[in-house]
Amino acid sequence: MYTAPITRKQKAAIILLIDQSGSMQEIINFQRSRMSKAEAASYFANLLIEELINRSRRNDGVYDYFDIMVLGYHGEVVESLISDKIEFQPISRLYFKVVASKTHYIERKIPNTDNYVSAAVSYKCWVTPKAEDSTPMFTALMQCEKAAKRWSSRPEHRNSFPLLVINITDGEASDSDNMMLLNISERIKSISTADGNTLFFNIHLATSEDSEQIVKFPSLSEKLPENRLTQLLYDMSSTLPDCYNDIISEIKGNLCTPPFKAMCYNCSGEDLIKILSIGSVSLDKTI
Amino acid sequence: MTTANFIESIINPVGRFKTLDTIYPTLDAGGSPLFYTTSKTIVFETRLNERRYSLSILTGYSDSEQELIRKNCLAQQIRNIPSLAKVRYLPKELLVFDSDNKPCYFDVILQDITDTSELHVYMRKNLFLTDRRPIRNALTAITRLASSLHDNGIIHGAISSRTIRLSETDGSSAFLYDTPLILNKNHEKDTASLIRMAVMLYLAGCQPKLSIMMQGIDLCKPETFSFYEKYILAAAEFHGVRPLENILHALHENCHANALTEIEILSNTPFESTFPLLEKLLVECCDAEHMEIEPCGTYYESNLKDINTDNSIRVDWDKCSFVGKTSHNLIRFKQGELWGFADKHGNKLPLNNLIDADDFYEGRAVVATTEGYGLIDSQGKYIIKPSFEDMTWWGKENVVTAQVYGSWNMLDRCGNVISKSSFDWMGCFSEGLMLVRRHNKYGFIDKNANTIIPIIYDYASDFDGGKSSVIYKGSEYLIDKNGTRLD
Repeated sequence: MYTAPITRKQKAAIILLIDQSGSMQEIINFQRSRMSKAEAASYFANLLIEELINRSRRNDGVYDYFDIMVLGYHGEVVESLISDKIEFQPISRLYFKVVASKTHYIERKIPNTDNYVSAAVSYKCWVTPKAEDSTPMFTALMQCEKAAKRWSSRPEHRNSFPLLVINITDGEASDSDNMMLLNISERIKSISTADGNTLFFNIHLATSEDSEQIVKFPSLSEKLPENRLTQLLYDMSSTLPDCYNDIISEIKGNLCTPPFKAMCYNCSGEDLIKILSIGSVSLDKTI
Repeated sequence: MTTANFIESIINPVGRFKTLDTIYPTLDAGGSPLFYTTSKTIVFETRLNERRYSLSILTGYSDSEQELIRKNCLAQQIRNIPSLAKVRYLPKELLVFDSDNKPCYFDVILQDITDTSELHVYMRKNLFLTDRRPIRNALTAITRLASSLHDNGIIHGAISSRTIRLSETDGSSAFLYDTPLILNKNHEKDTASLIRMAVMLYLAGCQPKLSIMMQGIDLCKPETFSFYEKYILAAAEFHGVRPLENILHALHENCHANALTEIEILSNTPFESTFPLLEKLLVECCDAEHMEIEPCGTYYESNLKDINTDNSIRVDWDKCSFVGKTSHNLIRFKQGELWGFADKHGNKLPLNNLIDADDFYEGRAVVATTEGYGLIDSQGKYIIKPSFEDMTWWGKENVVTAQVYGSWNMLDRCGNVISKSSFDWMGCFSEGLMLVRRHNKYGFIDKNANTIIPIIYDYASDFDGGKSSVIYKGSEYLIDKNGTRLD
């Protein structure tokens, strides 16, 4: 289980759900910067898309190893943020899509010297920040369930690496209660390919005063921040399979006991990308 | 590390390389570096002293694997086989900063791109005017193998699909360099043999082939993989190309007769299955790394049972004179003269002495104590202290209007004042605009507190169907949302 190589004939899929409700306007500390939760979520999404594209780059182009869907939810709206319709996009389509890019400059200190060098860092913006209205998380998860079922049931995906669902939110659903969210999460997690069940990740962006605290992939016994919503997202998230244990232990850098939950509190994005490398050994025989 | 971290170093090479001071990346038209990735390397196209090089950054190998690769590269340099690319293994060459600004050093392999076209040079010299089909088949087989090796993180040194462009299955695109030369469709047995030989020589002449096998075997787990059996089988398969080495040797020695005999043998060898054992081996090595896992159970059921263990903070719903609907998983209730919020298990938010409360919307609710009105979040913490004379939370627009000392202001959901000056009165949002009054004149602002329609009217109504009725200097008329008079 969770061993299927990702190839062009046996693609993997990722559904990214982004909370765009008004509460995402709040400012948090993220990546050593002050930014709104909405900016942090879009940064996270763009980083993930770029990384998936980069990992799919082969010497003669971008191979479609991944299908991706990015859904934003706010008010009564659940919409695709990377296409006109709610549907999976092959990763190469995003590569060719013309989007704005931003460049910022950072200073790096060269180790063992007193020298600093300036570095230009560019990134593309497929997803732009937005924060308004209420949080229809349940509706978004229903859409996600529908899409996940459709994708996983296709014959060509029967043996694929299981679908990954990543929900970035501050946890305030307005269209459901906890039980409804837990139920639909269970349903999403039960959708499977021959290689395993869908993995449901929740990235909880903290409120301003808690935003210094970071929790990455907590183990079952680990103490969580005292926040009711964190507990809910923790309960909604998948328990990660054993193949993630080593990389998560490395990320956490402390003594921790598996199994781990697919949940982060104020995670920067890079850590999630690190663990996405599981299963991405691409044995492409399609050429 | 993400690929973006590596790109940053390559794009900004100053101070990042230990020895390759003057290296710089080849950029595409958009200013992005040309690169591709495998599961364990990122390969950039670079320029150094006016020559093209591929720079492979080893990102995913263990120390022992890197050591093996280093030895392979070194052996390859020493052998100096013409068909092989010139490679240099540079340990701890590249400085990369991770997202936490932590510096890390990576080993790289620098490979002369020009040299990797040796196969094409050979074919150009020897195989012009040939049938293109066997070439395509042969090169397809190589590319498959190259891809398989790359995707398994094995750096071959000689085989790279970069050097050979694959034709489409419909034949729409031919090879990168040799398109004009592969024109003649006549199939000739000797030509096919030569092609096979060229291809096999390319493989056979590569870096110690058994080391490649060893490298593959090292990746797997001894308990799940029959090391010796596979090793022997694979070695046997490679022995199958022993005649090729003889041919290579014969050609180098100018013993054409011997070479032709070997070619004859090879021409009767079916070529379709390149190295089936090798490929199988790689697949099995990969599979051996995975382990079965138990599906996760119904963990949240047990969590729910534990939610409410402290009865002292529970609400007795029967004693409430009002119990509202659930909003944000919280229920507003009134017990005696005081209001409060609790989840459906009756766990109360830590709020006391609320003499008034609204429902939650988007994580915020207005409450009132004897001190005044304030705004709370769904944890029960005050975002705006209860010190205002009046307050409304506009959840859809994500703003608060609040009155203090008779003046109204607009605040964001975190309690920051966003209106530049205060108002005498603030109405409600209609079609995205809020009716406000200042010095007895009316106008409209948006949710960012920007004045959209000037505050000059003696009277104005809320917008309805994109129109508002106003009175200005004694005349009454309709305006649109830009403030333009409509009649």
